[in-house]
Amino acid sequence: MSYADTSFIAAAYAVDVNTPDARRYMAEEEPRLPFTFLHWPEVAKALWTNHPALAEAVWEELKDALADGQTLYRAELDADAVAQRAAGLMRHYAHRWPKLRAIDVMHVSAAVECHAKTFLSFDTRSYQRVLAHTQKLKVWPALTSEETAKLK
Amino acid sequence: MTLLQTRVDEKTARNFVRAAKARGHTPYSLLQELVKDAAAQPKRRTWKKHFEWLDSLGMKPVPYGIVARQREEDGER
Repeated sequence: MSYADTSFIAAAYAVDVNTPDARRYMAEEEPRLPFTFLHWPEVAKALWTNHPALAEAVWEELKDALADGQTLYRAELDADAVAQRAAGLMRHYAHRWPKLRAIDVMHVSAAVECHAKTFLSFDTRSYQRVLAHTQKLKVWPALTSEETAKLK
Repeated sequence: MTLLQTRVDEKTARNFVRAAKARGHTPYSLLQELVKDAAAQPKRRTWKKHFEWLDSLGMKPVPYGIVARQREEDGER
């Protein structure tokens, strides 16, 4: 089971540089992805700031997909459990990586709470994917050399 | 509206009549039920179809990763 960070889901709904890679992964795996309380505001911002003219149509499509539950589904997650796990991760890693952001930790925590095995994310300029790797999640696309260096 | 007057080969027709009888139907009522069930089935939504739909919008690609950039701009470093 895969968990997609908003950077991945947004690339599937708002065309950016990562859309071709997202499309390739989706075509090969046809994953059914959890959509959580963390995704809603980030996807909304991605749509209305980058593709305002089409945002409403895409938003309706996203909601239809969630209603069907075939490509995306509303994950039943305990927000407090996600936040508490995130706090634990932050306690453990913030000293090592001072630039670790709360949103990144929350997504990794949500992935673990969803019992995901694979973490899909294009946010290579943060510590999110590196953190996911430390939590025994398989990160896709694979970690870059810069990210791998952060693990040392 | 006539929908079900479909010509099929002899063997298929015989098997269908047998299957209808086994289910307590006439061939026509079984056919009606199958058509009704098929029409009620939701269309299978796939990522492939989703991307075809996205293509049809003609959305202009933005030359950066949207979410990575918006997180950086949000100020938490």
